[in-house]
Amino acid sequence: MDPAFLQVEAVTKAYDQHIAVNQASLSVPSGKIYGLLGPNGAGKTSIIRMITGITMPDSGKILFNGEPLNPDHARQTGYMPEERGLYKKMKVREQIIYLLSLKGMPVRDAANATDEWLEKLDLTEWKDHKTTDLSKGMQQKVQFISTVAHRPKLLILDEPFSGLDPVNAQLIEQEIYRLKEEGTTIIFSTHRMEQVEELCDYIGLISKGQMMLEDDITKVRRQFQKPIYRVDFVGDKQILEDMPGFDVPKITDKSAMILLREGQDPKEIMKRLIESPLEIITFQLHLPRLNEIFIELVTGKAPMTLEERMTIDSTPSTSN
Amino acid sequence: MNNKIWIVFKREYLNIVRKPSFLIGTFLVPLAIAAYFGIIILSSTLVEKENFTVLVERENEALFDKLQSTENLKFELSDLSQNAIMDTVKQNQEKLFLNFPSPSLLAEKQQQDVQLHYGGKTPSRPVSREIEKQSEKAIEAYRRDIANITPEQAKALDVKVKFEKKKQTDEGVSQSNEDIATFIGLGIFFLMYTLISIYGSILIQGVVEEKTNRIVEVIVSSVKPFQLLLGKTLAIGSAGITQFLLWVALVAGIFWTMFLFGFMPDESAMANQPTVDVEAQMSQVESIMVQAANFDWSILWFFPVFFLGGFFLFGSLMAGAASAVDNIQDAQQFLAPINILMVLPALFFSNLMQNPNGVFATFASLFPFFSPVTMLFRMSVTEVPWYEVALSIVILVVTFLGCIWVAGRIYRTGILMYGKKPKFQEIFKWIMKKQ
Repeated sequence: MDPAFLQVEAVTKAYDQHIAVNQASLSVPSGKIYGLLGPNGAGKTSIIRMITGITMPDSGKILFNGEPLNPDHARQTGYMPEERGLYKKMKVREQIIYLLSLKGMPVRDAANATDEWLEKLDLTEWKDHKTTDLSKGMQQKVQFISTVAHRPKLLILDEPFSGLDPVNAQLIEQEIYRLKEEGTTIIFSTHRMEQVEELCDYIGLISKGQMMLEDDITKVRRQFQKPIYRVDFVGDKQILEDMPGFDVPKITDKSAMILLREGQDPKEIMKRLIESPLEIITFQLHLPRLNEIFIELVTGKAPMTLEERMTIDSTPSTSN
Repeated sequence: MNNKIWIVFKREYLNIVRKPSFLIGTFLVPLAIAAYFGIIILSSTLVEKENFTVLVERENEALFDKLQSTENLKFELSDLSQNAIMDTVKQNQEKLFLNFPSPSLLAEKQQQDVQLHYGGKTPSRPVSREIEKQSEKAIEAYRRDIANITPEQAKALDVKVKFEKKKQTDEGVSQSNEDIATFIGLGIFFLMYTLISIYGSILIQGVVEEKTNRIVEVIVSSVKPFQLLLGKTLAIGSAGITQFLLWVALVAGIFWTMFLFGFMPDESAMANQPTVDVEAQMSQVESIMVQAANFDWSILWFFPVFFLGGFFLFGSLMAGAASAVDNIQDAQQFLAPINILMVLPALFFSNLMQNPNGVFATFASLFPFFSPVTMLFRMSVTEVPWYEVALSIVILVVTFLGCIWVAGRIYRTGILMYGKKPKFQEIFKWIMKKQ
């Protein structure tokens, strides 16, 4: 395990009668991207608000780079909330400088950093426009700049790609990678599992205020690479069930999930299927997505490891 | 920490004073005040001259002898019958018919019915006033004649009282300016009320805007909610003061210009203690101006003090209320009690005006929710002891500090709450909750 930059230890936060976060602990490794996942209302925002110092935990503690969290850490943190906005009538450049100076950046430095970033994200010609003149995607970029331009050590991005077109999403993604290379620790929160798989080094899953799972994503990814394929077809399903080289854990009259046996080449299997009397409509790698684990975990089952989850998932294949 | 309040302050302040509406308000209000005075002055100087011939029946010849024709008003005796005179009046718009009661009635009754008939446009008020005055004098003179009272005797009985109030001050005796003081006090009262309302609503809008467009979460990750609220409130209050000072400067400038162009009484008239004679020569407008010049304008120094006090008091409560809800409509429930507190002094205004030193007025000028609008009114119309002013300010300051504290506690929780409109009990919990 990499050394933790941010450590949340047994933190609890309650609003009135409702317990938003219950004894949650998480450990965000230094210089890594950490995916904080969880359904709406799970307590993600509550945890993030405590990390950013907006609210204080009722109990438990938060260590920022080894020190108990204090207001000075706010200037070392960049936070882009999911529900975010800008001052509508304020000019782009002025607005970024304002937000950066609130982070404690001297105005001159903030201005330089702003110009640099506007250039980088292709917004220079918009710098004197009001927010209302900008498209949603451009506003997202402005928000991103005001989150990162003061070079925070900890960056918290909540759904940073929502509302961005693919080109701009890629642009932001590159910048996130670059910031990571420069040593920034990043907490990344999203519902889009493919983004998590692509970007994150670690994931933490929270449900009903409790941490359900926290792990290195490379382990998770390795298990995701189980050779399960989905086959949609027209014809007699018996033909499929009788074919060698794979098991069929799940089948209907129109589609099946097949699990390739050790050493089998998917291309070879596909060829065999096409040459069979069946009409093959789809042949597609099926990744048991984080989403599935996510749904199962949050619908009330006890916390479990990914290994356990994958064992259950592949039970039919091992019965053969 | 203070640096952050200052950064917020700067943004909020510039945000307001750079708005076109601020500039428009700043220039329009003094222009409106100047236009108001301008219209009064112009209308008094531009009375249209009308020429009329007023016909009187032959049977009232005795009265006719007492009537005095003027430049624009000529009295004429007519030998025609009443109906014929009526026809003349109908045909000739410049002729009027003054119909007195018959001589026998004239001698008896206390109340005399006199009618002025006209066929064209209605004679203006100054004309009919003049005719009425002359009719009354003529009838009086006629009845004196009947009672054998000589003009000398009549003159001996005719007493006129000129009643004046003289204020004793250290500098000597000065002309009382009670009417104009009430007028100015009223102006200050409403100006204060308007400014607090306008800037209060700017604050509410700012709070709701930050909350609804969700920038507040980013901001409070760098600044404590209380710092944000404080910076905002101070900035908007300062913008209010700026506007007030600009108004004072502009109004002073406009009146100075009017003075230069001769619309105002000249300096000699202002400098002299107006004697009865001088005053008689001055037009009503000039006398208003002299009174206004004698008004103790130095009380305006207290305007910013009470404005800021009132603004911090009401503004912070309004901001707290606004932070608890998602939109301005939902805020009404919480704003209503605050607005009622603000409007109450206006409802009791007549009491305040009639008895500015009474128990109620004194109470109102000390009670912190009323004092911002009432104290300056009292100071305009009467001498308020310095310790009452000081006490009023102290109470106001202590109360607004308390209100800012309460508002800050509501605000820090409210701005991050979305969805359901909170109940009063919940808000009370937010106030009591430790961070």
